[in-house]
Amino acid sequence: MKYFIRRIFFYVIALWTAVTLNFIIPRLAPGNPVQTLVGRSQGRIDPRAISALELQFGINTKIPEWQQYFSYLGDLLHGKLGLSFEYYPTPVSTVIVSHVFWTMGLIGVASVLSFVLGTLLGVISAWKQGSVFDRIVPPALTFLSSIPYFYLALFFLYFLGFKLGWFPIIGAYSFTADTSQFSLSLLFDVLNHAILPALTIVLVSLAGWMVGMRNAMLNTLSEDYVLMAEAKGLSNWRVMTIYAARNAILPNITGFALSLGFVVGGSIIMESVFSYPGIGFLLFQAVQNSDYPLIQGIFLVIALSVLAANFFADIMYLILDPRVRY
Amino acid sequence: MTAQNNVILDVQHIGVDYFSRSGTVHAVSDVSFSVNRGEIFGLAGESGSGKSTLAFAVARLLKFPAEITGGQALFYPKTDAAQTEPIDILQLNKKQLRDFRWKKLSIVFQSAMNALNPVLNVQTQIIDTIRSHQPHLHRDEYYQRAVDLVKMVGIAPERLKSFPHQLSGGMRQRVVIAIALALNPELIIMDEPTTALDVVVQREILSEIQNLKKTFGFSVVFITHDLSLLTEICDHLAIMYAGKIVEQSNRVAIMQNTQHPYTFGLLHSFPSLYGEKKQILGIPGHPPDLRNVPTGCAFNPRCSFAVEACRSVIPTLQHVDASAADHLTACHLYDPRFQPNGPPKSLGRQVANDDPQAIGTDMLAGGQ
Amino acid sequence: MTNIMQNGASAKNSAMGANTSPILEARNLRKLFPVSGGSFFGKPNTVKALEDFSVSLKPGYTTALVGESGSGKTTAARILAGMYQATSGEILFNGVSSKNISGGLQSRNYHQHVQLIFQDPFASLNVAHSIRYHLARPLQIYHKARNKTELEQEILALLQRVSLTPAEQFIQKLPHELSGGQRQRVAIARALAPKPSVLLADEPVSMLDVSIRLDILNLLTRLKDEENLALLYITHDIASARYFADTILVMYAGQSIESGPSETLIKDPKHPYTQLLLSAAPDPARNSAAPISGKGEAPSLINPPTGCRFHPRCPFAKDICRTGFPKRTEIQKDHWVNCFLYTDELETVSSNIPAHAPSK
Repeated sequence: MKYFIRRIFFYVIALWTAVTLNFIIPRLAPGNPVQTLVGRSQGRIDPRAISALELQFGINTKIPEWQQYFSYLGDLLHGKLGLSFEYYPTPVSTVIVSHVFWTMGLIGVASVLSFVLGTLLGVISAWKQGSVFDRIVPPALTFLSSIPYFYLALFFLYFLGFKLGWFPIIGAYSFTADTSQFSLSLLFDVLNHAILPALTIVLVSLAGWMVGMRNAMLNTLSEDYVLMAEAKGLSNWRVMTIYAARNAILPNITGFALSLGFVVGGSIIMESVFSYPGIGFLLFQAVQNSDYPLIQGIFLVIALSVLAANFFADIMYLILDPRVRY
Repeated sequence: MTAQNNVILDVQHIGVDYFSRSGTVHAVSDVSFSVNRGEIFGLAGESGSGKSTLAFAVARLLKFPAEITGGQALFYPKTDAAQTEPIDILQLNKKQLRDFRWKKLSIVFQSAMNALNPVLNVQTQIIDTIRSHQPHLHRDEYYQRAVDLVKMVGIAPERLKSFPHQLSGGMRQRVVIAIALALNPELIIMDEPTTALDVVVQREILSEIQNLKKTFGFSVVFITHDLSLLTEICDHLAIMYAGKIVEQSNRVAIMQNTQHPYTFGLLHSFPSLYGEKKQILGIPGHPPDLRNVPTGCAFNPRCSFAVEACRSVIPTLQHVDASAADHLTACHLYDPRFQPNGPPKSLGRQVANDDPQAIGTDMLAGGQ
Repeated sequence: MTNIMQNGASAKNSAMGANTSPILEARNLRKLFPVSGGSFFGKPNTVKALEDFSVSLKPGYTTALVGESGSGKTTAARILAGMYQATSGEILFNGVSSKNISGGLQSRNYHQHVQLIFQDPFASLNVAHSIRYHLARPLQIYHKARNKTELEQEILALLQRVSLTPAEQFIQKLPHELSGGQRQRVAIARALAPKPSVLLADEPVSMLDVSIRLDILNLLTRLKDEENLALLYITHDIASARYFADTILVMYAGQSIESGPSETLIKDPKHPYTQLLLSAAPDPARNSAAPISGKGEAPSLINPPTGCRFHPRCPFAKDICRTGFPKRTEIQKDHWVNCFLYTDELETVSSNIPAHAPSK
C-alpha cells in the first residue's frame, strides 16, 4: 500500500512537471507565433486583427506570467488547449480528438495483438525447446523484425495493395464512406483499411515479444518450483501456464504497458506510408506548418499518455507480483 | 529381492549419464539398493556423488541432458487384492506416471526457497496438488484438507493465505513437507530438506518428520551430505562416492564397524561436541570431477590405504563381513586377492574410541 | 607440509588474556539498518541488527562468533572489516580508535591489517580474472612488491603457503577451473597478501564439501600460528568452533549472550540459548536424545522482543526478562553470560542437557 501511495505521489509530480514545461518552452522560443500566422496568411488577415489574435493566443499581453500560468492550468482542466493555426479557428483539442481514436484504435489493437501473439509463441517455443518449431520460428520472426519498417510497409503496400489489389492502399476508410453514423458496412470498411497497416506493425514487433518471453520462460523453466509442480503430477498445461508463464511474463508485462504509452505518439512512418489519419501524421503536418499550438497540444497528450501507461504498468505489476505488495 | 511385504522400493543397477560438450559424464553407475517399508533410508555423499541424481532418476524427474542408461526401479505398494505386481517406475507411461506421482511417491525438494511458486499463495499450491488427483471434491473439502495438512506440520491455518516470501525458511520447508504429505504417499524422497536451515529449526523439523512417520507409516529416502545427521535418524544407510555406492548397511554397523575408508574419513570429518577433543583431519584432496574420474576405485587418490590394485581394478559392492548380512562394501582391502593381510587395524573400530595417534599416522600417507 | 600440529588452544589457554593486548577491539557496537515500509509519515522502520556488541581479538588467538541466521554475526564482521559504519560504538585498532574507517589513507592502513574472507568461494573470486590477477592486486595496492619479478615470486610464495602446489600450475588458472576448496584457498591467500594482523573469516567452510572443511580450517590455524594473527571465526556450527577456537562468543538476534573459553562454554553452558544450541547440534558421539524445548524461530529484527530477545522461546523466562537486557555476570574468569537467571541468584541452573558421556 505504501508503494502505491508513493507511486501516485510520483505521478502527480511528473504530471505537473510535464504541464509546466509545456507552458514554459514555447514561451522561450524566439519570435511571435501571431506574426508568423499573419505573415503566412499573406495579407488575408487584417493587421488590425493582430492585437485581437494576440489576446486570443495569450501573447504580449500585460498580464503577468504567473497569472497566465494559472489561467493556462485552468484552461487545461477544461480541456482547452488553444486554437490551431492550421485549422484555424478549430480548437486544438478538437483536432487531436478527431485523430487520436484512429491512432489508438489501429496501433493500440496492433500492439495488443503483437504482444499476445508474441508471448504465446514465446511460451510454446520455450516449452518445446529444441523442437522444429523452436528452431524455425524465432529466427524467422527475428529476420522479419530486422527489416526496416518502412521497407516492409512499402513492400506490402506495393505487392498486396497495389499489384494484387487485395487491400486498399490509402486512408482509414473509403472516400465514399459515410462517417457520420455508425453502421456495419462502415465497420467492415474500416477494418478492411486497417489490415495492411496493422499487419506490418504486428510482423515487425512480434519477434521482440517472442524472444523476450522465450528467454524469460527458459529461465523460469529451470526453477525448482516448476520441477516440483511436475513432480506433484499437475497437468502439463497447468505447469506451463500457472507455474512457468505466470512468472516469466512479469518483465514483459511492464515492457508492454510502457510501449502502450507510445501508441499515442503514433507511428509516423506507418501513417505516412498508408496515409492513415492518425496523430503521427497530424504531428508531421503540424511541424511542417509550424502550427505551434497543435504541436504543443500533441506533445502534452503524448506526455500524458506515457505517464498513464507507466502508471498502468505499475498497477499491473502490483496485481501480478505479490512480492511487491508487501 | 522378491515381493516381500517388507520391501517398498527395490532399485537395481541404475545408471544415469549426462551428455555434455566435453563428453559423457557417468553421474550414477550401477547402483542398487532397497528400502524397507516404514524405515528411513539414508543416502549420504558430497558433491559429485550422484545422490540427488539417483533420487531424481527413481522419481522420473530427470531431464535432458541427463538420461537413465539402464536398470529398474520396482515399487511395491501396500498389497490390496487387486495389486500384487510391483510397479515398474521406469516403464510407466505418461498417464500412469501422473497417477503414480504424489499418490505413491512424493518429493521434498532441497532449498524450499525455490520449490514454491512465488506468485501463488500456500493454499493454492496445496490444493492444486490435491485437485489434480482428486478432481471431484467440493471446494470446502479441499480447503479442509489444506487446513489439516498445515496443522500437521505445525503451521497456523491463518498462514494459508500467505505467499512464500512472507514465510521464514523453516516455515517454507514445513509447507513443502505438508504438500508432500497431501495424498498420503507411501514413500517420500527428501533431498537435503534441512540443509539451508538453522541448527535448531533443523532439529525441530527432523523430529516432526519422525513423528509424522510414526503417525502415517510412510517410508523415507533421506538424502544429505551431513553424515552425522544420518547416523542419528536413519535405519539403513548408503554412502555414495563418484556415482557409486561404496558402503551400505544399517546405522549401527556403519558406525561401529566402518569398512570403507571413505566412510571412515567422512565420519571423522565432523568434530565432536563431546568426548575428548582430539585432532581430526578430514579427507585430503577434493571430491572428484566427474568428467575426469580416476581409474580403478574413484577414491584411490585420497585413500591412505590404497594398494596397487585400487588404481586399476574397480571394486564391486559385496558382502565382506560374516556377521552383518546387510553390510556391503566396495573396497579391495577386503578382497584377499589384493590385500591378503586383511584391512588395517584402525578401520573397523568404533568412532569415539579411535586412537588419535593411529589415525594421524594412517591418514598422513594420503596428504597432498 | 606438517599435518600434525599442536592444538594451539591448550598451550595458550593458561596464558589467556594475561599478557597479550588485543590488536582489534570492538566496544558497544550498535547497528541499525533502515528498511522501507512503516507508516508513510512516521519514522522509517529499522532492522536492529546488532546491539551492544563487544569483542576483543588478540594476536595468536582464535575467537569464534557462533549464532544462527539473524544473530548479527555477519553484520559484526562487516563492521569490523570496515564495510559498514556502526551506528554507534567504537572500534580500536592497536588501541587507537577508528571512528571513520571508510575512505582515505587511514582506512587503507586499517584495511591492510584487517582482512575479510568470505563465505562463498564461488562468488568471491572474479570469474574473468586469473589467480595471478587476484593475488597481484592486493600486493600492488599495498606495495608489497617492487617490480614484476618480485610480484611473481610473492604470488608463488602465497600459493605455496596455502598448499596450492605446484604453484606454477595454479597461477594461471581461472576460478572456474578450481574446486570449491581450492578457490577458498585462493581467497585465503588473497587475504594474506597484504600481511594483515587480523583475519576475519565469515563462515569460511560452510559452502564446502564436508570432507575438505577440516583441511581448510587446519590451514587457517596453521597460518594463524605462523604469523601470530588474530583470527575471528564466524560460524553457525558450534562443534567446529569448539575445535578451532580458543574463545566462543554466542550471539542471538543481534545480542551477545554468552562468552567463554571453548571447552568451558561447551561443557558448562549457562545461557538457555547456548544449551538449546548445543542440544540441537547433530553429534555422532551421542544417541538421539530429545532436545530441550525451545520452540519457535528467531524473531524479526524490525520489531524484536523487548529486553532479552530470547525470552519468547526461553523455558525459564521470567517477567524481568521482558523489561530489560541483563547485565553481564562473570561466572568464572573470562566466562560471562547475559542472563537474569544468574544475576540475582548465584546458584547455577542445573544443566538440562542429558548426560553425555562419550560413547563407550
